[in-house]
Amino acid sequence: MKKFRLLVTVLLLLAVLLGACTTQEPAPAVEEPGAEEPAMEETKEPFRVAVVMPSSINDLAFSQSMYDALLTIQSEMGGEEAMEIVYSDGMFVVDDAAAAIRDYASEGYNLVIAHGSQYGSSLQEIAPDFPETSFAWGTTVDTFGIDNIFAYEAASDQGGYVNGVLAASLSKTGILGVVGPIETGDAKLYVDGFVAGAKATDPTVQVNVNYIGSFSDVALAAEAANTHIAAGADVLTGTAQMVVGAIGVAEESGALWFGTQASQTELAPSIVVANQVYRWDVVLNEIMDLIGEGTFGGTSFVIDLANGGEVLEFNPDFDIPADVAALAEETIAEISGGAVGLQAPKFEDVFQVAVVMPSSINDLAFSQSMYDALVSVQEWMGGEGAMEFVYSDGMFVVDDAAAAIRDYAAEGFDLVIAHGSQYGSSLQEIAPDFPETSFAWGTTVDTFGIGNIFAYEAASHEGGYVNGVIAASLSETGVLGVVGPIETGDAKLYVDGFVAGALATNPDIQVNVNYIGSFSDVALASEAASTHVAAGADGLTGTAQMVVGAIGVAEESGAMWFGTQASQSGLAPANVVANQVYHWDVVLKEVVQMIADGTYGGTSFVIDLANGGEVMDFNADYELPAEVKSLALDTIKGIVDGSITIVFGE
Amino acid sequence: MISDLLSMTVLVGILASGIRLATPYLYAAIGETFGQRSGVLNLGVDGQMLMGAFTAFYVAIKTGNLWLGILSAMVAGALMGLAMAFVTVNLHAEQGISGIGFYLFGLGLSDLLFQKLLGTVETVKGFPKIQIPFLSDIPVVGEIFFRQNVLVYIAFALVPVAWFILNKTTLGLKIRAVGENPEAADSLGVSVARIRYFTIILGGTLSGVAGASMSIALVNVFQQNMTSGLGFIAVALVYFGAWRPWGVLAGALLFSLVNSLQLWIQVLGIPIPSDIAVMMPYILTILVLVATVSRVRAPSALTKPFERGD
Amino acid sequence: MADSNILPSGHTRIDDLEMREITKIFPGVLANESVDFSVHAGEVHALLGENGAGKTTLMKILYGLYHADEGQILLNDKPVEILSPTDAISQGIGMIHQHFMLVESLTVAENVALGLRSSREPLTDLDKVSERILELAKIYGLIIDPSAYIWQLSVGQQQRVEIIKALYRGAALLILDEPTAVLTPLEVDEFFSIIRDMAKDGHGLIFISHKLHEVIDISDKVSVLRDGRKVGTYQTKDATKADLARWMVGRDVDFRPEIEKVELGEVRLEVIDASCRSNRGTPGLENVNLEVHSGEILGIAGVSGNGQRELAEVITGLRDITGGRIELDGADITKLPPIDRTDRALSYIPEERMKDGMIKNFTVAENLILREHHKKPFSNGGILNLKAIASHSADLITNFQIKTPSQETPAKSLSGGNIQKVVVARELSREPRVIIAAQPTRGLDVGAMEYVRERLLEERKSGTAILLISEDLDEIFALADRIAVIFEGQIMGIVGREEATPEKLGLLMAGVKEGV
Repeated sequence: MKKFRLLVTVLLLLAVLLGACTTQEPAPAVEEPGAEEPAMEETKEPFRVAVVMPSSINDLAFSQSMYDALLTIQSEMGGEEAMEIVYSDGMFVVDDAAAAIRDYASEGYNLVIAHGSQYGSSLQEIAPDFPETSFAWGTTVDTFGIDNIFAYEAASDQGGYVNGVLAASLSKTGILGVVGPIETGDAKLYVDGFVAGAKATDPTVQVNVNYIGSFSDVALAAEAANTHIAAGADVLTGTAQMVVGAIGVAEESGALWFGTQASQTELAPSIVVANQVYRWDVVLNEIMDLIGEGTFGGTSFVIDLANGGEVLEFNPDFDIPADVAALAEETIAEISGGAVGLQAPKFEDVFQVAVVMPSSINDLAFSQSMYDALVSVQEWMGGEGAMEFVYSDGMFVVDDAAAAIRDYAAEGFDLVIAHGSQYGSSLQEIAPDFPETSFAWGTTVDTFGIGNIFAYEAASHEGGYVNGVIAASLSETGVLGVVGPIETGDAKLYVDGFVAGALATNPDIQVNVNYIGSFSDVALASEAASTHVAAGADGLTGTAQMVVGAIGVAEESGAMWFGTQASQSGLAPANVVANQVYHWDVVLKEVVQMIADGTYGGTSFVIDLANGGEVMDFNADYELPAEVKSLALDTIKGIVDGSITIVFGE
Repeated sequence: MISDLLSMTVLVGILASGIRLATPYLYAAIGETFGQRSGVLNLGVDGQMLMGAFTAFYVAIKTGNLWLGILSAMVAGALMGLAMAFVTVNLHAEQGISGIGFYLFGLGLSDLLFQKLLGTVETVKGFPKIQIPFLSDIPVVGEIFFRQNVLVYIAFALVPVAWFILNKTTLGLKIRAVGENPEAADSLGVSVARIRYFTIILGGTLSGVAGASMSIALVNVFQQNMTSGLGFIAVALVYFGAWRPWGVLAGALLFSLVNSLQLWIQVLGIPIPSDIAVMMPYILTILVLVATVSRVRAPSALTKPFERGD
Repeated sequence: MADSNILPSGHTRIDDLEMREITKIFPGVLANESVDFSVHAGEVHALLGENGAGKTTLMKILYGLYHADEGQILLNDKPVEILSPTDAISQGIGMIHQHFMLVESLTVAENVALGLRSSREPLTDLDKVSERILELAKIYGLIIDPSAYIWQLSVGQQQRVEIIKALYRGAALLILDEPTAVLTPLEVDEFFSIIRDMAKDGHGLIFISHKLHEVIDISDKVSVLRDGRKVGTYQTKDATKADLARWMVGRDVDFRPEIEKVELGEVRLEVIDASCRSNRGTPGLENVNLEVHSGEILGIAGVSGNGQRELAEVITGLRDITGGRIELDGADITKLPPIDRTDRALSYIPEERMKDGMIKNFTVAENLILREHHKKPFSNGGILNLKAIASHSADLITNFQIKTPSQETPAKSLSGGNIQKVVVARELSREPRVIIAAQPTRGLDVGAMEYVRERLLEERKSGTAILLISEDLDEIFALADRIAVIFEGQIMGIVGREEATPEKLGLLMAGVKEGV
């Protein structure tokens, strides 16, 4: 049966590929015209607002933040006579929510708010049927181009960042725990901001993130919090309505808690340090003004620290050390003022990025690290409405890549990223022809002295060194194996770092290095790993995308694996010890900022452990002995503060 | 250090991994041998391998049945072969160009399906190593030859089978005749089209298995372009092997053994720059080819479309 | 003639085969128009006609390679349908193609077994096949080693394999498509005696040819085709060569044009001790010495592949010389590149006119200036002068009677004779001092052949030195003043036109030197 389904799928895809793709959704016939026009002209009529929310209005989180905002506006406008509010809460079933939205619209409400990103596709169908009704939808920046839909979103990473700064400053164990629902949208943005803030404050801090896959499973959230505590976390945070379960755990165990969306202080006054509180009324006021002027939609809004839509509320019952409080205030000021690179610049049009990569976007290595960074930059800039990116992956043929780069430049992309050192000479020819386009090229430090090329590189030896330290500490046979592609650039740097780290830890260790001469030959990578194992290695590492072949061998033979470029833990959860993960977004954000300021290139960037562009990601499934873990953390700290110098062998 | 190369562990290691590395080459190159002996140069082998690799991987991961994976890889390869046969036999397309076309098609489609159906690199539990009773206990030899997975055994068994088919059966006679002088074969009532369809589809089927041998037996992952041009080396091995199965075997083993030798050379720290080490299999293969090439002749009708007047 | 209707091979004999009102139309061409043709057991029936007269088409219909648009085939008075060679073979019809249908890399036995059902499918049964081959060989006197590879065999032996292949498949009637084209005179004699024996045994034989003397030698009856229609069927013994030629061409043909005495002039081309390698790396020419005088045609006779091609290429500079010298008008040109030799008025009519003589996709006009394209008036500082090219080609088309729809027609769409006329026109119009003419009339019909020969004789008369390389002895006899025979890259001997007899040349061509 499954095979049959596969066959059908394959055939369908084939059909699509072969250009038979002419099917189109039948245009939905306009249904009954709906309610009569709302009587806007009759000024005495109250302004009627309906809101549909996924959880309860007192969830201390997402839904409550909206409900509170509506009440605030109502009282500002003069009570129920001036503004009528109805709501349907707990609408976690999207179909029910859609029915409610349609009902409200047909009942002639002036503004119908669909408070939940999951309602988007329903709204897209409903809104055109009620052109005289204004709809608002969040959190998103996408109005679907429909002119009676407003979109609203929170720059939740900003408060997340401040929370992260505070958390890292207050943690004693150096371990933070995050409980999130699903890795997307508002939640992901908050979590990423939190991680970034924590890492910026203390690069050695470890942030364990756990997405539980549900917005409502309070029990699971509690369990996730328990896990964090067991793993040594003394500070927790989380987002979405199910975190109330986690807050209880935090209180019980005396861990600190950072809230978001709404104030969660009352739940556990002794341990909540601060909350990022959403003030949707900032947005709703603007929306209602626009409706008054006759504009029913088409605009998207973002609340953030600068516009007062997000407020960082400190728990007055919690004594924050003065220096930490000062640091927090400073951070808020910097973010609001745009000084911290966090504030995404605004472009008149959608900022368009194209990237050309040598392998697949899910190679668990080099290309994926760039793809993930672009996704994160997109979130940072405000979603697809503010930043779009396209990619050409698998461009291992340099001539093809060059053609793609030229095409993208000619099509007017703002930033074209040539993600592969092999593209350099092509770029050197292409860039001067498109002086209005900004190019980024890595990994290298060479901009060719061309004014519209940025260069970026990873200090991959740093994570390599850390991996080497751990590997040498854990190895029982005293033999380690390295599988590299070609002895140059990023790969060589990583390998040399690994060797240096291993030798620094155990001068007697034997590190066998094997460059297989290919970035893509998984079979040879696998055989190289087998060779290492046969030569006695019990710890392996490797760099570039073909190492997925080697990881399988590590798994089969029970050897440890150390990853780099992207997290490879998922591929062999029992064998991967740690990964050096690249966060190119650190560089890309700076690049975007510079482009906004009118500089198209000429600068080169390096990501490293200190600037958060490289992060050591420990596999949560691998039980790392405490002393090794602390050695690793000390090593990271030493590299960051300069007390450890990495010395390469002869 | 160089003396380390002669230690038993290393010798066994070199031979055992050489044999594993040779496996995908054998499937693909034996399949290609049939095609070329009948006069069709199929440059799409790598694409067929990628389709086979993906299909086998996907089916194996979804059903848990590795043999079903192999079967579907064969079907995928055969379908690619069927398309190639139609284009080259019926439409008389230029074989080199259409082969490259099918390569790119397989490369792209396998990646697209991978992105849509799986989306991330994951591992599968592939064919386990089979220890052949008694034989695997023989010191050294057992370790090298008789502790491999089943697809390795089949690949090597394929060589005499292919030799037998080509040289001892009427089918083989027809294949050779069609590749040398299709007009003559046609005049004797041999359907050139049918023979070429057969060999191209067989080649595709074996290429599919070649891909499957990587994704569910040797490496046990699927990744975009995971064959990394291995299919083209397989085509070269057919020339190297002078269009004979045993020659192909010799070529595949030579190439693979030198490849595993260079892996060990690096591991043992023998001071040869890695850039040179990785070139060794290619250099040696080219040298042997140059030394032997003048004595062999390609099938006369290789790459030539056949069209009967009328 | 055998009494029973069983042939020595054990197969049933075909008493009568009749093709009735066969019509075959190719796009734009009427290849056969209502042709009647019949052949009986024990008879050699020649099918005569110029190239393109429809002989091969008619026989391919009989063999199932083509399908007739109209008409029917009767076998022993019963209508049969022959849709493929397999059908033809099962009816007892065999065909021996002009170009042998043999797979060189296979053995004799494998070639014979190909396509037949083996007695132990799916395995081959080559031992059994070999036994049967030897049996047939014995009956028909066709000595052959079944385990030999085809590439090891001489052309004559290969032809025997073709015959055995047909007999093995039970052929009672054999179609022989220009079977002598590739044979030496001695081999032709042997071949004819085999044919006669087969006819005596009760086989029917159809002999396709345009060589008149062979038709007269071997056939009992002759049917003549012209432009797809049958002119008539005649008893061969009643016909003369002149009759046959007239029926074939539709007018009287001059076979041995009167050769005027021309005063021998100075030596224009001299080949001294020339040696070179063949494509396979083996010696191609060995110490060849030749001289060609002004007003002389020196014929090079020999069986194909004995160094003729190498000789032409060494003289024209297309092949590296490994020893010796070439002199043109007394000047050493050994080291000169081909273009400099061309510029010294050396003309070359190459053997493979489609491959070496022209560029198929170029127009007639472009092909006509290939040799002079870089010179005035056709080119002015690298820019082609289209007007000059057009008027030049218009002249040549008229003068050399080239039949072409226009001078812009791609050369490949002309007929063989007209393609050769384009080459000849180009090479002769440049007032050459020396002409190398390699197989200048091969494959041409009688009319075109006659024309090309006349033009060569005119050149001779005007004092040009001509080296004529030909495998057609008739042509050598008709044109050459002196005849040099080449064998395995060596000149076996040079004889004057008067002393030369076919027998003498035949021996030399076979590498036998005695008696010269």
